[in-house]
Amino acid sequence: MKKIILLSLSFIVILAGSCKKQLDVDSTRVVNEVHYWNSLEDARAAIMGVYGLTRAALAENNGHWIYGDVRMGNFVSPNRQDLQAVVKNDLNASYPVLNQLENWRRFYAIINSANIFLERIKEVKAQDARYTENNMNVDVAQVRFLRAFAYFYMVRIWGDVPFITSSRDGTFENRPRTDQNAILEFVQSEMEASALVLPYLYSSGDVQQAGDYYGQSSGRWSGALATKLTAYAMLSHVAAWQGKYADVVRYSRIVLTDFGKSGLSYITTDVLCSAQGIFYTNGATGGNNNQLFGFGFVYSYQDASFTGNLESLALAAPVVNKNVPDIYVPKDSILSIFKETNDGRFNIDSTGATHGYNNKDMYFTNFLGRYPIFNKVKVILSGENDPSFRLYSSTILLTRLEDVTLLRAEAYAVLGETALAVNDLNTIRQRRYNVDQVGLVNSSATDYVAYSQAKHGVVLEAIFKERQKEFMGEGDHFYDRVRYEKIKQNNPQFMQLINSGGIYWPISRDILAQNPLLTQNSYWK
Amino acid sequence: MKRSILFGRYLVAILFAVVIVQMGCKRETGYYNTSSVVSGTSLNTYEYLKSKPGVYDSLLFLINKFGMQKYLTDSTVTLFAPSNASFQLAIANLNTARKSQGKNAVYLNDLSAGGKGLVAGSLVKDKAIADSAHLDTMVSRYIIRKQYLSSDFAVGDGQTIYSVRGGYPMHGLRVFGDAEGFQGGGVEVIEFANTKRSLFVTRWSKTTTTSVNIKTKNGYIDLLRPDHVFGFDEFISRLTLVPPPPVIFDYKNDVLFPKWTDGSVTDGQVSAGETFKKCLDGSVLTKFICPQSLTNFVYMYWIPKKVDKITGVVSDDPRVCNAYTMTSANDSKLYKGRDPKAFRLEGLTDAPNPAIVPPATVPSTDPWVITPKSSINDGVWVTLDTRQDQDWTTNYQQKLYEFANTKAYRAYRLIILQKGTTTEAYFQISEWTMNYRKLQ
Repeated sequence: MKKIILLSLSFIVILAGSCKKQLDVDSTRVVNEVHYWNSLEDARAAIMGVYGLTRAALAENNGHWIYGDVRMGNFVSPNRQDLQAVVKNDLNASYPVLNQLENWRRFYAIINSANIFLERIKEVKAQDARYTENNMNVDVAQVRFLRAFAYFYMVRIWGDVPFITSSRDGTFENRPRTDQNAILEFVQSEMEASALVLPYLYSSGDVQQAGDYYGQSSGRWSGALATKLTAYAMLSHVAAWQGKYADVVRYSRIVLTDFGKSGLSYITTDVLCSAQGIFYTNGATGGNNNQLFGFGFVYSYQDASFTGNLESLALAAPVVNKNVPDIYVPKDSILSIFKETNDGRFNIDSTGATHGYNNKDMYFTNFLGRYPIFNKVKVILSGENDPSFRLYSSTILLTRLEDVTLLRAEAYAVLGETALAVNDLNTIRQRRYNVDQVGLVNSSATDYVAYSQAKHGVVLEAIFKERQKEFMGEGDHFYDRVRYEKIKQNNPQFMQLINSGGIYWPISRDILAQNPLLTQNSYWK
Repeated sequence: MKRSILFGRYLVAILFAVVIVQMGCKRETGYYNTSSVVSGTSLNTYEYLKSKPGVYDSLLFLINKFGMQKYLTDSTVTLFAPSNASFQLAIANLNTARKSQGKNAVYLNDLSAGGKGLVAGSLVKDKAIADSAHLDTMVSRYIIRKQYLSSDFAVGDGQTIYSVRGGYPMHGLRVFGDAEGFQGGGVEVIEFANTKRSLFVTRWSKTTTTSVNIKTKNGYIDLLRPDHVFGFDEFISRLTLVPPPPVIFDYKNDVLFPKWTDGSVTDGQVSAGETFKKCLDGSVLTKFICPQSLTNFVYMYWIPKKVDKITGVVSDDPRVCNAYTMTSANDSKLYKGRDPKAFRLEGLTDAPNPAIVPPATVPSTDPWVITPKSSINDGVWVTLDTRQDQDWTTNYQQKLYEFANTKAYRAYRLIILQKGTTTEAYFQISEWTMNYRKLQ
């Protein structure tokens, strides 16, 4: 009997133990550093890795939108206490999501992989004749741009951050924080340098990028990689964040003059809000050039995701099968933001009926229900109308032509060139305020509600109000607000926040424990 | 022999192990065999609602106000009960819409008052009476004639059910909710729909219940989801819409016809189907289109008539008119140039005035004139209302024009002097009415 029990125990161990086997297998696909940096394929994998890490850094915990849209923004959360804490700027609240968002580790992953790339890419050049000088130059420019972008993004969130520009042979020594202005100078010069080298389009016979880039045609790369105009567009952002508005004009002028060369165009309200619009990338027929700087989750490349997109936060019934959205814009906020008539994005008539472009729901749907659903970004599966499967494939979009146009308008307004600012503002208004009271589109392109000071207030305020509407849900709002308050300097509460570092995020406790050279942002001590 | 015993031992051990492993892996049964939480009550429907303070107060308030208690105590009814949350949502929606128009907030108490204390005959009073009537209509749609169990809606596409007042067709369909990711594996609920008298399911406005089949003494109660908006999607439009005053056309007996300065123009010459009568047919989807220019005005005549019930004799029936409406056509957005821009309304006086010669623009022989008395040429046309630079912005846009008039005229005519643009050849509208607003 004893033996039977013992035997059966050992069989249990065998039966139960067998489940684990698969987890212990070493991956056969990972190449260690010794055998890396040999071929063209290694270079391709490495540069795609930098892009991938950047996308992961933005998408993790839906950080891009929580940093940009949820924080002191238009949205509120009906059921998530952690998001409600972000809305109230109570960032020291102890929630796992907040703690992870306070952690900059994932941005240093980008920087580290970029540093390694820049140090070792020469080895590929030396060993693989297929890897041309031109290919390397373009790759290096992209990686330098992405590294600079990661720093820019971090500086906007944490202010001063440790500044690391070499891999130091894999040792991660502790570094103190570097002044953010110095980092921004670096970011600007790096981006400028890469902008000179980057092509307007990939695999499209650009003089700066000959032939098919890594053997793929232009459709594969459009909207996916950083182009010359991506760099100049982000440079406009960097300059605007520093308050260098003359530079903003200089950079944005290049984008707004040459946008045709990169296949960019101004989009209609319909394209802005439809399921297969600006946030959608079609892998089969080629990407989306209008995504001036975006990180796609392309459905046809099996890349769609359940999280890491605005949809997972903002969508709910009746668009998808989910009862309550994580974030929504309250009705009175919607009405106070979209006050203007003839707006194709959102329009309400005296009977409470809502009308969007072509009398369809654009920014908001279910307005009369319990929660108005922010419906602008809704790429379900490959842009379908199927509410049952919550798999999304929208692009994380960091800038687009409209963004650059309004940035230049802002710069002109600050510099006192009101007429030019109005011009740029009207370029956008022409495409948004071109519907009648029931949302039908005016037949003439010149038939729209142009800016007028009497109706829309001072031009600078009109521009920022326009930004608030146009880029709602694109992770821009908080930074726009900071720039606005810095220009106006008339809101003592917010100025106090700016001056005491309250516009930055606290640094994660995990990082402070690891690195004694760091000190917490003064506001969050 | 020994060997086989050993085998036997192994066999027993393996079996034992398998049994234990199997037992450890027992499946959960899931939640899909739920029974209803509340099965019945000895109260009648009205008392049941009363027994839940804080849940159905709004509904009870309206039921009391509109004297519907008797349906819920005596009649056999099925009640789809909206909770207070449904009313809150509807009222909040109404008040956001009102706020954007700069109006104050209103609540059920004001809306259901029916204009008590207001001056009789005033516009505000009329609106208040209409508001409470609309509320009455909306509440009565939740009270359904006869008893229905959820299983009665299980067959096919469910079935049409009728509201207790007015017999308005609603619709019920049994569906199953989802549970733990199992589609259709949850509790049974009823999809309760306002059919809007349409056959097309896509036009229905639907909601679902949370609990069903609560038996009361005189029927069943099904509880609606708290995120249902009371009134389905009609709440705001019913309570904000201000309809134009009543139309005073008598389409059966009145004589209505168009004329043009250019006598060679005929009705329907632009499009045979889009004639003058299409702007009198009550449908904005069809329109009247005709040539018009600065030298070729469109005259739209209206001669009110009455028929003596005994003799059958047709005679003039002068009516007072103090408002008129026009509605733009289905493609006015595309052809803005065809909308009426400037026009004049004239009334025909009774007494002939020989001093005034009939306008040369009106042909002297008129085939439409039935009796000599109503000849449109023997009176004087008095201008009642003139409008200029009217701007129409969209399709199917109705505009109401009111003017002061207390006199009954024998005939009226609306003269289209100018349309949107002079480059456009045609004039078009989808509807034209003459109206009369009761004087205060």
